[in-house]
This record gives sequence, structure tokens and C-alpha cells, in this order.
Amino acid sequence: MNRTNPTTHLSADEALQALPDQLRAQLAALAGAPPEAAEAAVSLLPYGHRALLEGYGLTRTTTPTAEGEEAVNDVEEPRQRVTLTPLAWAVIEACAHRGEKIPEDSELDRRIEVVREQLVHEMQATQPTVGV
Amino acid sequence: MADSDFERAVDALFLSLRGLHDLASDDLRIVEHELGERLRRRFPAMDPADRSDVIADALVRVFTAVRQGRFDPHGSPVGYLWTATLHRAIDLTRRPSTVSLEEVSAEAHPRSDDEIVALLDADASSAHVIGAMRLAGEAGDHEVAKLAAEWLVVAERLGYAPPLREAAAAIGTSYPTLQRALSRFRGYLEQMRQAG
Repeated sequence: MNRTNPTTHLSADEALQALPDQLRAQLAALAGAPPEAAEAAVSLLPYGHRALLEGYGLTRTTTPTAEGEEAVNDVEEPRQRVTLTPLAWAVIEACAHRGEKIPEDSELDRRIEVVREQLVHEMQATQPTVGV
Repeated sequence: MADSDFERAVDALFLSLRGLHDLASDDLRIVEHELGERLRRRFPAMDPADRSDVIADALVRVFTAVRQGRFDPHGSPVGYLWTATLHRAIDLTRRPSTVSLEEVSAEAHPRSDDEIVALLDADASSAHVIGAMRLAGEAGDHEVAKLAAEWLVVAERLGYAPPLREAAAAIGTSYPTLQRALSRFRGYLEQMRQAG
């Protein structure tokens, strides 16, 4: 994800309106974490959530060059570096203040699983039967 | 990588979470890498994207536990972190399914950000999507940005572009709401494409 986002001027309250419940809870859990740890956790989020954070100016993502100190090797793809902006830390604090909790089982994950089940069922129902 | 390197990096991570030590980015990288390797060995069929999700979830839970004082400082940080990771991985593998995730979407599962974006719009790139998110935010279209992000998460997890009704069900919104939101988001995407 390359940094293509000019400076945004959104407030933490505005950004909060765009954050899904699960993402707000995940951000709340990062309050007080060392920046490196928080940034690593954010870099592992699903793409849709990372794109949202980047677009709203909560993160800045850069890809280190081969000459950079991250010593990108010739085999692996360059590792992207996510930096949390001051707006992100304000949002994290707001999420923590609101007491957002990480659900034991994500509602989104559960719903996705239901959809996956439906897909599997439909695939099985439409597979041609082999003669016996 | 030697186990001692992993143990030292995990110790540094836990000390930093307790505010007792600055965390070097290399240490975190070592932790993520070794957890990924251990998961790969333990769950060889697990998708790389799922491995990343498991590690992210485990790290967030460990952050929370350490900050809330639920981790015994006399305990084993490596054992605690690995147990948290293992629990998340087991949760994932226990999700009920008559066919495994790998069987459903091994070939179709996207690997890069741009491949995920292509499920939404074949002519768009990740940079376009990020720009479209920004435009939506600046226009106060926060629900549009949120639903587009959730659609992308669902598509990434499923490994294919879900029909609108399925996506709406997965996200927990109505079909017309999601349809309108994605239509508006595609408008922002088009603006980004035209802007080059």
C-alpha cells in the first residue's frame, strides 16, 4: 500500500463514524502500546480496514527501498511500514475511552462463516453426480 | 532462527508493554516471523492470510492482557504468547465448515492488496481505493467508507467477490444500503481514476 494520500483534515470524531465495530475494538486494545507494537498490529489487519485507516489519515504506509535500513532482500517482497499518525492515536484513545471491547468471536467473522457455508452448500448442490 | 533469539525478542516485547523497555522494530519482526513459522509447521494447511490474522489477533489480545495486569510477570512470556496464538488458530480451524477454507478458495484467494481491490473493481488499484476512502471521508460519507471497507474484508476472507445480498448479510446491513454505498464508493473510485 503506497502512500498516496494527501493530508486529511478529519477529526477523531469524524473518523470514528467510519470505523466498523470490530476495528474500533481492535484499536482500543492498542491504547498505551508501544508505537512499534501498535503499528505492527495495524499492518496485519485485513486490507479493507488498512485502506480505510490510510484513507482517513490514521496511518501512513511506505515501502522501504532496497537501499533502506530495512535491508529488503532480493527474494521477499519489500515489507511495507505502517506509521500511526497523531490522529490515529487520538482515535485509539477515544476508542479506549468508549470501552470498545474485542468480542470473543467476531460478529463479522461469524457472518462471513455463514456466507461461506451457504457457498459450500450451493457448490455441493450444483456439482454433477457421478454415475455409480 | 535460534529459539534464544525468539525468547529474547518476546521478553523485549513484554517488557515494552509493561513500560519497562523500548521495543526495537527488529524484535517485533522476529516475534511475528517466528510465530508465523510455528503456525506454518503446526497448521500446514492454514492460509497465509489466516496466519497473519491469527498473529494480529493474538498480539492484540496479549497487549490487552499485559496492560490489564492479567499476565503474571513471573510467567513465561513465550508460553503465554504462543498459547494465545494457538488458541486463535484453533478457533479458526474449529469454525464449522463442511469443506475447508483451502478447498473452497485455495486457488482464488487473493494475495496482494491490488488483487483484493480487483474483486471490487478490476480497473482500480489499492491507491485508488485509499484515495476513494479519503474522498468519502472528506465528503462526510463515513457510512460509505465503512461499508466499502467491510465489503473488502468480506471479499478478502471469502476469496471471491460475494453477491451483494451475501455481502450485506455478512456485514449485517441491508441489501439496498450496501448497494447504494458501493455505488457511491465506485463514484469516488472513478474520481480517483480520472485524477490519474
